[in-house]
Amino acid sequence: MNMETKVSRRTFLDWLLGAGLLTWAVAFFSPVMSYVWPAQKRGPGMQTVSAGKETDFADWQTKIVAVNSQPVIVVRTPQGFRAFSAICTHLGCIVGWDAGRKQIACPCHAGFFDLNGRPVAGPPPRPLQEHGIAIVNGEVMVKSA
Amino acid sequence: MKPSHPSVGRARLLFRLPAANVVQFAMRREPQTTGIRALHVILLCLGLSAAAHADVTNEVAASVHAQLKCVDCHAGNAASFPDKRAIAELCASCHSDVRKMNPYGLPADQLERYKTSKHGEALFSKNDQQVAVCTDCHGAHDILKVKSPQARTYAGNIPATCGRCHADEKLMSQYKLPSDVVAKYKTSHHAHLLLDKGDLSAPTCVTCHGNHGATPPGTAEVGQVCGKCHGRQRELFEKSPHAEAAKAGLFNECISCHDNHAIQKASVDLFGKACVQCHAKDPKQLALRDQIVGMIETARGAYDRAKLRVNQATVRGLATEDEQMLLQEANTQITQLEAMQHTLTPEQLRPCATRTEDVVADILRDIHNLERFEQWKRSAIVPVWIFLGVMAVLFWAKRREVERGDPS
Amino acid sequence: MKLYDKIRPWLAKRYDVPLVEEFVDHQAHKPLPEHTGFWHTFGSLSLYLFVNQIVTGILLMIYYRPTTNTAFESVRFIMTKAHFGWLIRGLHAWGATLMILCVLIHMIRTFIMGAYKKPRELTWVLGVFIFGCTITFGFTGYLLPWNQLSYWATTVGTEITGAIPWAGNYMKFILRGGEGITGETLARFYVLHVVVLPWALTVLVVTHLVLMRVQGLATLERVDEEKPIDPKDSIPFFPHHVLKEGMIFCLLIGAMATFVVLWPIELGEKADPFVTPEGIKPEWYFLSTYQLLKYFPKLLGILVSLIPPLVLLLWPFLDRSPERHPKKRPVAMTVGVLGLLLAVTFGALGYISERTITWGGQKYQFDIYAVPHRVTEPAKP
Repeated sequence: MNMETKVSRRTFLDWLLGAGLLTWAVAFFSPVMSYVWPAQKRGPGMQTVSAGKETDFADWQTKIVAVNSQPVIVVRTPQGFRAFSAICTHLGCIVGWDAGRKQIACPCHAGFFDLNGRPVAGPPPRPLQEHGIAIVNGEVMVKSA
Repeated sequence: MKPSHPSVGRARLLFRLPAANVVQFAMRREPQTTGIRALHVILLCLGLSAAAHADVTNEVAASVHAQLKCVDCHAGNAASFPDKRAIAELCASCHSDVRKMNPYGLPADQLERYKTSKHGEALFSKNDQQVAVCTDCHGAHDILKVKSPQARTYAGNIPATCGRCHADEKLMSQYKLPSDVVAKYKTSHHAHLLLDKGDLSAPTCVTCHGNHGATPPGTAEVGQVCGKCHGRQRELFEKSPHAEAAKAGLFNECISCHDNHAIQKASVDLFGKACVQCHAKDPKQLALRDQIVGMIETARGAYDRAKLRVNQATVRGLATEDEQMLLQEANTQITQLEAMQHTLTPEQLRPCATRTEDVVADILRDIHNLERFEQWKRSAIVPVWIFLGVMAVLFWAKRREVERGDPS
Repeated sequence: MKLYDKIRPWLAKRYDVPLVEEFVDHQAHKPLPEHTGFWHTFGSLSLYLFVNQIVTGILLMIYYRPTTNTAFESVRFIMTKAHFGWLIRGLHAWGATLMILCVLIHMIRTFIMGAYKKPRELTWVLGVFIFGCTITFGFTGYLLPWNQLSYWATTVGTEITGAIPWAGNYMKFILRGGEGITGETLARFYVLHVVVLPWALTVLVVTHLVLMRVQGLATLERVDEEKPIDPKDSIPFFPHHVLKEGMIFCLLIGAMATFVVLWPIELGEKADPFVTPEGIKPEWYFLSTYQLLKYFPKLLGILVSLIPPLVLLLWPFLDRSPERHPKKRPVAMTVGVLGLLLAVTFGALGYISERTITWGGQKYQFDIYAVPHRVTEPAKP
């Protein structure tokens, strides 16, 4: 075997090794970089969720959003926004809105809650937990209870 | 009101004894031995009768009537009240007076209502002295506000108060009334909520029977009574075939299936016991029952399966927030479904049942997708090992080369 | 090294570059005894795993929150929302188990090859402390996810410290930061796990490595008869041994990836101080001590369980034989094998205790002493 063949074989192995090690380094670094990139706008202590733009809500319009994987009902009253846990305190059904009575209504056993979350008719024993609302840059932000 | 020290009570009474009352007392017409009457007159004059009746005066001082004097009720002919009608009239002398009751925010129609009740009718029409009158339920000297947990009329104490007569077999047999109603009530879900869980909104005897106008609701009224709280079920029941039967008097509305006193938490099991009471020989109706039961049980079964899968996935550490929300949606649908069954019409139940199954299908599909990703991770191990294998070979080859190239 | 050639003159004018170059060269090409082979890689594997724990640990700290309200939720966030969070967490949790395993295998290898004997007694002593630190890392880290397993295993573990005479209750009180396992405990364990222990272990490991490098790897020759390494019969550290280690390293990475994906560490259920799950036990590396303590009353148990670590620590001073070859050390080998067997046996007993198995159609329930009892099912109506 002459010197040139020996040299090219050595360089080829070195080249392979180099490529392999580089791939290895990239394979290690990429997940780390990805991990460090913030997963959500706010980290694990997610405190607020946007229910949409202020302009999306007409008076007496409601929406149900998920805050920490719990449903929350957001109501726009002429006096401002209110938000309550959407889990009925009777048997846990998800409540809705009764536009006629302007009250929060549970479809399961006709429980009704006023705009302070207090039960006014039907079987629910306890009021709905209220969530704070803050309007930030025109976004309706619902705070976790 | 804070009960005052006994001697204060005594002293208070001493100072409040006008001479007129002493004379009144001396001249009472009740058949009492001259000796006792004389004793009381002397004691009164000496202001000592209060001391003699210390236990009673303490009770009054701690009750809502603390500002009253003994003679306000006991003056004249009243050391005891042999005729209960007299008690009713005595209490009514203040409690039916709107002007007197206004400052306290108390109603003034108790006696009127009482006269419409079974108790009142028996007392005033038939002079039945065994029935309950004001003092039997409210107490005489120890009357407390209804909201006070020690009051006999406190929600949690009502079954015991009513039970003093209505659980007395000897007494009830005279009227051909059952004496097991309180015991039955205590097995009920309402009693469990009231007595075990302290939920004061749970119904007691007076919620359904009324308090002063206590009467068992008639067959046409049962639905109204239960419907006071269970409005949705009553509304749905009105749409069912049984509503007609109830109007015709063939069906005792809620009670026919749910019982009146021993009401248990509603479950699908009730279908097994209730329908056959009338429809035992009616295969068509039983088939309808089976259809409805089948829908509910299918929905429940699907929900339980979904819940189990979601829980398993959550404990494993998969991202299940959306699926948990969907579970609550499914739960809402099933709860509605279970209320809906009062219509006894499968077509009415179908939307909820279908929606439940759709939601459950979504949940299971989502969980399946999450698990597919886990599966993909497992298969990604293969290329990783291949790469590592190649690297190991390269290391080995390099080492061989280095060893060979090394003259030593 | 074209870049280095360019900056070398600049450095040479400021620092004693030849000295540094010579040191690096010497370390890199340090001759190792010829027989340095596969079993000698566990030291560096342990070191690599330590680095792995530090790196993945730092990454986890970005999202982890050490309070009772948020710890569990933050781990869930890491596993479900953070990109590759599942991988980082998996590597950290499995890395812990593998590190303890590698350290153990490294210790066993050192024991078998008599490398702890003169002049390397202190290296061994440091090693035992390193092992103790590693185990403590495992213990403190285990509480941090704040799930049912963490909470109750820590309850059981800290109860044992209370059994130590006189100082035991004080130690337990300080360790727990109060009477029970609370947010105070979490905070203390977090500080230990993330600041105190890493620095302690770093100091110990660096010293251990320096001593090892200064004294060189032991051969199987007798004490005081070690010959200096003959360049003809040696392997240079770099690149020969490093390449060998590279191959083993591939195996380790493959194993870690496999474990992380095939046997993922679960999130569990959030810690509930009012609900004790059935059959709570400490992690596998504590099982033998845990089981051993059941067979003795409290004080005696503590004393008995102190014997193995003490023997381990003082072993280089207890073993008087000048031989290093395992075949020439029957006593030491017997003691070693016995110790290992006892540890494994007690660990197995600890594993099987309080479990119910079905074998040959019959149910057996193992009590806390791992004695099986036949379970007679009540006659079905």
